[in-house]
Amino acid sequence: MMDMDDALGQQNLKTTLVADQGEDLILQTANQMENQVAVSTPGSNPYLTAQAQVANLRCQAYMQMMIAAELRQEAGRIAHDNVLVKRRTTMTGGVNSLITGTLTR
Amino acid sequence: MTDPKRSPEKVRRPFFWWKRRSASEAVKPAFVSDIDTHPLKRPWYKSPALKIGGAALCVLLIVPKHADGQFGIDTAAIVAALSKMQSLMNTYIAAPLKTINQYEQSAAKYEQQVMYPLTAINQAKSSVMQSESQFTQLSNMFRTVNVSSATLPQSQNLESSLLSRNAANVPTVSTQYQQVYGVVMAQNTTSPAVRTMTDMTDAQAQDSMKRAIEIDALATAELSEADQMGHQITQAAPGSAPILEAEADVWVVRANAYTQAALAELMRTRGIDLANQSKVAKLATTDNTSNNNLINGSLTNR
Repeated sequence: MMDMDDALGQQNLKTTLVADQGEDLILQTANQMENQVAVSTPGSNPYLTAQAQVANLRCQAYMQMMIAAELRQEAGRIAHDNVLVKRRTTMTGGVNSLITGTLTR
Repeated sequence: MTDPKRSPEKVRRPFFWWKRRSASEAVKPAFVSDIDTHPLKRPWYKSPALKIGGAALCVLLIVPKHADGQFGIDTAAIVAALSKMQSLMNTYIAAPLKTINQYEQSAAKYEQQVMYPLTAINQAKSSVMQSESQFTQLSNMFRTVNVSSATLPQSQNLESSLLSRNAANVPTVSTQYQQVYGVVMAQNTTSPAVRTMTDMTDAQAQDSMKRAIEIDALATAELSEADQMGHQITQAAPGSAPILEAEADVWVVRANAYTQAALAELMRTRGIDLANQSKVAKLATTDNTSNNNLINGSLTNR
């Protein structure tokens, strides 16, 4: 469980690095498209609007990947808490057995 | 038996003069006495002049006469009408057609220089290609950067399934999850409330992990589609680019739906987490009450 917790934590930390770099690239691309829109004509605008929609789709995909990473992390967190509950129950059962055994003697 | 119609004295004279001469020599009499002193008298209707006249009349009858065309209408009138028609066409058809042609040329010039200038279109395509290159780099980072970090076999198996981006691996998650996080406690080892809470928490954790795999697979498919559409935009005509934009719009709408599904799953997971903390507080309160009752009972009985 600890190994899995560590793995999930590291996965998300690595994903945030990629996401931060992606954010810079996306902003750079948005600026470039905005500059291009300023010098575009009605006939060349469809290329830019189509490109913007494709970029929007890509950003949605990146967002989904980050949400998936967040989902994994949250799942790992509640699974971790759940393991603690299970372990506590097992330990309580063990203590009960010990006490019962001691009292029986 | 001789033919009664044929007279021995009758001499046939050919029509043409050269035949006539040879014929006259052929019938020359051998004796002077044979020469007829009375010349033959021809009928008036066999004269050569009459024959020539009849032949000329026949020729005149056979040779076609000069006829007037167009039912006898005068050619000059037709030419005049045609000339008038040409004048009218020049005035009422040619002039408007010329104006239309000028408008069309003006519109084409406007479209070429203002609406669809080739330099602006090529510049937009160049911009699209540059953006595509940058996004391809970013997509490769999301796809190829290895973020797996587990070290033990069981957790490595679960992690490889979680990061596989393959929805076919979803059924194997439950078994791998149980190998890492264990199963629900056995009956009679704890209270039903705790068992129920633990079971629900395990279920929600597995749901989230499975949904994460699906969302990763969908995001990968969206990135592939975006790469394909971006490539098509660089080769599209100004008229076909809006079609690709509409296709991208449809994909964005779908992607929004998938994002909402992922967010809903995340909200459920956090909701279960909060509910677990609440449940723990409730169980602690119940346990405290029970303990208080036990202590009070012990003290009272004494």
